[in-house]
Amino acid sequence: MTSAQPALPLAPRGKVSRPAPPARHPAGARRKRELWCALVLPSLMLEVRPLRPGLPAAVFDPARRVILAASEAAAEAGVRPGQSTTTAWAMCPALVTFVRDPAAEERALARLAGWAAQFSPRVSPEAQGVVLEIGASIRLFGGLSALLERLADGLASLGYRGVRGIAPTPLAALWRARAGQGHPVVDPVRLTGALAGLPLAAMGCDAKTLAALDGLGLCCIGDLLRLPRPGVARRYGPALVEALDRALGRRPDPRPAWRPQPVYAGTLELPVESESLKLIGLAFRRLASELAGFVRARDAAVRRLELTLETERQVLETTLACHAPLRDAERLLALVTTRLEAFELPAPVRAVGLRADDFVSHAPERALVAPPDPEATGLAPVLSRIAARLGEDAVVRLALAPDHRPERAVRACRVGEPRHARGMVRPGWPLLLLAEPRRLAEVAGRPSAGGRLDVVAGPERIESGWWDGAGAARDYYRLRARNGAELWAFRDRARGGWYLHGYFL
Amino acid sequence: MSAAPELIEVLRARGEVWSAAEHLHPRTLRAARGELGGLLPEGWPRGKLVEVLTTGPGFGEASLFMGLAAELTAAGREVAWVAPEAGVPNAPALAAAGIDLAHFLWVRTTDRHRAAWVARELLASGAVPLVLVSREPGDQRALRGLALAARQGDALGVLLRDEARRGEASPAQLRLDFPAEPRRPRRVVVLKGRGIAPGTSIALEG
Repeated sequence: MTSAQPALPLAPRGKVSRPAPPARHPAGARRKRELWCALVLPSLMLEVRPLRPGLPAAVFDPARRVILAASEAAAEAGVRPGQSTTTAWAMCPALVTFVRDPAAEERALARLAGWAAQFSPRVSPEAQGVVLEIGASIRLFGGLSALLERLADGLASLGYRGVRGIAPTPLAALWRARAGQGHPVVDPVRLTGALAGLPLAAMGCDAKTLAALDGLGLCCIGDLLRLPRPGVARRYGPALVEALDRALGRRPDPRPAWRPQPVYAGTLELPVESESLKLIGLAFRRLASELAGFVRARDAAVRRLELTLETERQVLETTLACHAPLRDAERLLALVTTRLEAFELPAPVRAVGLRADDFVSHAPERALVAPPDPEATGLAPVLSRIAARLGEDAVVRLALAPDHRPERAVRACRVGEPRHARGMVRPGWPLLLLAEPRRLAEVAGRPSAGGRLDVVAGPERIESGWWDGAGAARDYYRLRARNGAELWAFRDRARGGWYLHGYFL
Repeated sequence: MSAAPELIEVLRARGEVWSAAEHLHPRTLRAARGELGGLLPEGWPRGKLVEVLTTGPGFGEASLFMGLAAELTAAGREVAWVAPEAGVPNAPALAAAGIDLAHFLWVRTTDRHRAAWVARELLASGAVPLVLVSREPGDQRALRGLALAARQGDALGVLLRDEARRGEASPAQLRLDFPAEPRRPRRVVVLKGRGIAPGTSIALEG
């Protein structure tokens, strides 16, 4: 089949065959050319767990006791898909095996779609990967090769080994990806030629059809295209012909619009129960990358993160607040690791989770003269780090409160919390207030602290709070000790006695 | 020719230009007052640790830095205080000293090591040009950590500590000591300082 006459790939050799329906869009009203990218994850069943590189691991089917996928290290030891588990263990005694977890794969694919939505609004999950329309995004990302590079880097940071296919229709892209043909096919005219050489298995049809086609002596899609169309439809069902039409762009291939989830929730099961921060960090790195893609897709930033660490007995949960909304994977990860370092693990961890549901919209990054990134400079990152390790109340701001009692005239509040400073400014008060007034010894009715105390200033009478049960009737004095230190003390007029309440620091 | 305003001025007025030059700092921080100001003509050193020794609280040791704190917070810069365990920074008095509380941070963790860690983080961040530390960091290593963090963040770290530590070596660039004596005006003795003879005694105003 040459590209000179691509119009009739299924053209009949003789008789009745209706040509495929004409394309929906007549030449006059041509839409912007579509280009689809398929990302297929051949090792997904293995990669749903964060594996250390070099670990010989394999996934098996518990019913048939057959290996389904093997990690690189396992493959080097001779473990192959299709082997029985006994053979595999004989080949590689150190092999770590897992039962296949289709539900986890499905969740991983849904999260992958959420991540991929940062590159295109048209994303749809497929059996072993995702397809996304990138034709409209090429310019935004600075060209096709730059976009593909970002996709590849991003996929690697998620911990997936992927293959890609790029073609004008989603199915063609998917088939080329499955066949390992990563070279982009941009021009629709060259599509038929680009598909003809692919093996039939790339179409992903069921094993029975595949065996039947194989029995006919067909080995590639081109062979199938040369067969008379009605015959193919009659023998193997209309679905096969329709799939070919869709792949070639002769039939529209509408895909449900990807609806972004309102919440990001990712969990990863660790390959082995572990207390190693390295392995746990590796798992969180993947989740943080996913979350970064998730928020980029929504032009948002994260304000709050929830971490979960699952041990055999319990699920530990902890919440992290970000002082400035975050959207960068590295910074998200840095925050998570700071918290992890402060965490005492009671038992080995078997699964980790990251969840975010509190987002704010993020200003686009395309400003001509950008102000310094508040995430990178400024106070927010350091406060987030401190809050991650010590909690949100370790560093706070102060606010004035409208009360005459010194202990109630100051209020602590969280950084960033709006405050209403409606208090009094007190020039005669000391810089340091004791959290609790401390009783002073008395010598002959005068206060004493390791020696005589002389009055420097005072009294300042404070009478307040008789209405709330914590009333104060005090006379405050500035006192000087023999060593020169200056104290702030009051005489309790209601109950008597002297109390130290602050220092003139 | 200059009847029309410069484009840069227009943009600046609209807040659309971020100019690095506006954010460059002089090498020192101003606001060392009185005779002490005469001794430190350029103000407090940046990127350094300053140590102030007293026999206990109440010598006006923090007040030395309130003028600087007021200037910094008024300019929108942050000031942090790692307060002693038993104490609370007295907000009405801070406000009276001219400090804008919207730019004042209180570190109130109870653990000594954590307090030292927070102080280091704040100093090194470059976002907090003045950090007062009223919690003893403990050993030489912690002290060097503070000095290093101050250098990293080009910030002034002020360590208020007990006079019992006077004999210990210190990485601080400036060490001041308040003698335990009731006389007024108060004086402070320089134990160590660049270009200042050790033992120089300075009378403080007020």
